[in-house]
Amino acid sequence: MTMFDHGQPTYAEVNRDVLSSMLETGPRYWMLLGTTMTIAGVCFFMPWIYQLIVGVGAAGMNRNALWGTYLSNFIFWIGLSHSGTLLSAVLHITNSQWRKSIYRSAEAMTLFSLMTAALFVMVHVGRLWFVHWSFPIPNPMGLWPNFRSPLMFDVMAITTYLTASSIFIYMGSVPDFAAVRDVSTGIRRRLYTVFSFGWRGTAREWHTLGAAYMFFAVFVIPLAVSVHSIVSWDFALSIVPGLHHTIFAPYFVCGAIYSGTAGIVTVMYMLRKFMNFERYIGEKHLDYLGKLLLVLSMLWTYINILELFTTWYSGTSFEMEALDFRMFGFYAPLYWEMILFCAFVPLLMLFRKIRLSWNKMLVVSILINIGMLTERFIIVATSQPRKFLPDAFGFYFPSWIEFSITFGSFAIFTTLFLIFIKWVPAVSIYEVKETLKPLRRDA
Amino acid sequence: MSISVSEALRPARKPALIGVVAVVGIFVGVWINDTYFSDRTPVQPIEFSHRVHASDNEIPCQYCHIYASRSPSAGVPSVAKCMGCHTAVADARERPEVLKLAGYWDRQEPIPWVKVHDVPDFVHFTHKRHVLAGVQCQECHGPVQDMDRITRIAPMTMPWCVDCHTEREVENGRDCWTCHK
Amino acid sequence: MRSEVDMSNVLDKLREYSKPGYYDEFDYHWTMTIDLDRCTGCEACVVACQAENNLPIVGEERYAEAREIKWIRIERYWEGEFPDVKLNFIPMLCQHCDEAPCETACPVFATYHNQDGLNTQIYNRCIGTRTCAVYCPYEVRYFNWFTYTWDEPLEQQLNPDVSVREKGVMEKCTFCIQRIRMAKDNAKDDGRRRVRDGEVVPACVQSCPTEAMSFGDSNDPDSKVSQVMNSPRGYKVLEELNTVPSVIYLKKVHDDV
Repeated sequence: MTMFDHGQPTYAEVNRDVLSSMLETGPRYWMLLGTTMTIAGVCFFMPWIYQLIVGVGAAGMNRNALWGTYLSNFIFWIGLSHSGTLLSAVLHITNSQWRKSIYRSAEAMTLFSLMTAALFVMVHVGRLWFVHWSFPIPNPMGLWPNFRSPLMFDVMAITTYLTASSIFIYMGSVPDFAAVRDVSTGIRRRLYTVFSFGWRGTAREWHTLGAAYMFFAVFVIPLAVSVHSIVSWDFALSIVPGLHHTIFAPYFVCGAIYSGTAGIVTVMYMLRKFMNFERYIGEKHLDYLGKLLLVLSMLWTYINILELFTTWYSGTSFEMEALDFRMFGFYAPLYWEMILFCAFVPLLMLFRKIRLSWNKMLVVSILINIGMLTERFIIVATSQPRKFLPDAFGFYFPSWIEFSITFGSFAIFTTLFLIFIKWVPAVSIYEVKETLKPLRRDA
Repeated sequence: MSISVSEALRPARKPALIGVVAVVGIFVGVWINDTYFSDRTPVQPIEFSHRVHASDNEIPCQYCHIYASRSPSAGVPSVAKCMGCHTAVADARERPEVLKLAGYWDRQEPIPWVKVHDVPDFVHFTHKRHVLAGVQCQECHGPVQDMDRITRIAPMTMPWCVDCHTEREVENGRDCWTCHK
Repeated sequence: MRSEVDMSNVLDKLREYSKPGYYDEFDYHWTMTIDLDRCTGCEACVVACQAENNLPIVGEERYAEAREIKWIRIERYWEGEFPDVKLNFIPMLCQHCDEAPCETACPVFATYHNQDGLNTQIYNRCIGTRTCAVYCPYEVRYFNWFTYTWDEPLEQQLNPDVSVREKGVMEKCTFCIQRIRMAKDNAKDDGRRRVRDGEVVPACVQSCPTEAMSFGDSNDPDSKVSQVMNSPRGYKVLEELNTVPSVIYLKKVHDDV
């Protein structure tokens, strides 16, 4: 098994394949973009505007569960963002060659799912028009945000992560922007001249890029780990039974990388299918990602068992009540669905035959992400209605607005990704070239 | 075409310049509008002059705004209070603005004064505490005795309040619940 | 133009804040006691609070959705099996915890502990993340899911000393801050440094027909609450969570015990 399923391409072919995916746009692309934008508008923004007008009561939340699907989706999207940049950075440091044709789109996934997650924060808050108060902007009132608040940590972590991942993906793309510049004319050439910072490809430039890139790769890894730890503290720093677990930070980080890696498999499939990248994204990638997913699923299962164990071992009535509601209450089917999709289905990847089949891996990866989406929902929806005082026990079910916005968020993500693949080479041209075996004379 | 960034940006210079000028223009325009054309000096139903009353005739503020030292609200004098003097002050009776006042009195209607100094509903402001603490009316309302038509001098914003509270070291003066209700 | 923030003593300040009993050094530490033995569950306090604090009338439909707003509610617990049952009431309101979980939750300082031992809620600062309510173990914080309106003559009974809240804002019991403020105002007028015991009476305490509730300053050893709260029946709800509530309940006495 080699990196390239259909023979090694030449340098010129790499340029041609990747750039044509960017520069040649068919009607199918426009139709797809139009569809996703329409869905985003109708299913996400229109209900959101309605909700802004009438109040958050348009959603199904009540006083028993003040956090609902908006927050669980926020965590889902943050989680999905977790593999791209992190995986890319780890694999860059360990000098893995197979990373090079997939990392660009994986990082883009990070960026766009982070943006979608940020949108969910906006949807969640009650008074969107004052949301800037949660940033430490000097203001005449002399008021600062509350730095003890886990939400404040969130604001800091997510903006930092967004900035760092944007810089990381941009820096890696500079030589490719230069490649686009060199084959284009007119306004596009001017634009990409600016994008590429006048990249000329001298030895000194390559050296600087390499050093800077390595620096950022090292910088991004602890950042990525900390971001999801901090997101988990939104829950873990409360004293609500079912949320107040010390295991939450590693649990969330693991779950985030898990769902993110599954997300990468899904995106890879789409890129291969619709952008004709069969030559660059091969079985080897699938195999490696499959193995990674397998390890992560086992880790996730382990942490889940630990969580159950500590809850049971503590023996406090509050914790047991919340656990009982989670496992055998109204949302029990969702809980067991999550266990099935995230703990058992991935075990199929023990079989090489499944790991090497694109279609089967697509199904597995989507199932994992459905499982992870419900995991976040269960955390939010089954803990809050079972807090301490039995009188305040309640129930929460999302309204159609929440379902619609959840669905629309996928369209937003897809729209952003579709726009991305026409502006930035979705496969790193120069790094794929680095992996080619030097000079095949017989070619 | 070269690969120089500055050269690539050259055609964008003109729009960028226009953009910068536009943004600066908007800021200047908003400032001019806010300073000279905003409703800080609204037209009142009667051209009542504080200069004539408070400065020329030396009527103390609390002769008319009688509640300032005993209640949260300073109180706008009633038409009866105005007429109390104006039936007695003979040489002013035939002036057009006083005739308007007499009209309200005859119709037994309150005068629809336009409020100049206002704070949002979520603010608890009490005139009493400020007056009794020795804050002069002019410190917030400006030199009212020199105004023909009342103009709002102070911004009446939270930083403005808090600055004064800090400066005077008001007890618990920076606690939110001192002013917000 | 801004007053400078002195950063040098931030660490000292933090150490000071985390000292147990920090709030006892201030002028007041407002405290409430509720004698459950006297509570008949009549809900007069609920109605009084609703009238005093401009609580919206949400209607039957919203109530069924569990979106009601009741700053004080009567919780009802049955003990034992029929026919040998006992009924217990416990009025639940904001406990004004000294170590309140909600205060660390708010990203914008809309809720914090003030120098009178009160857990504040500044409506106009609230951005509606609802974290405080999720963190609150007593579930006494209520969110404005909609902007509620008052039908015709009802808006005439709104209390001008209390804000009317708009959609997207969290609200909760304030220990009737407007009455505390008024009492302090009167004390200042009389040239007194402190409010006299019994001068501040929150709406719920005022309306209680059996005088089950009392309110006052626990920093003052002679006040009524200081004496009542030291009763051997006294306890705090969910004390094991270490939130240090300012509401002290006196346990109900059953005949057969």
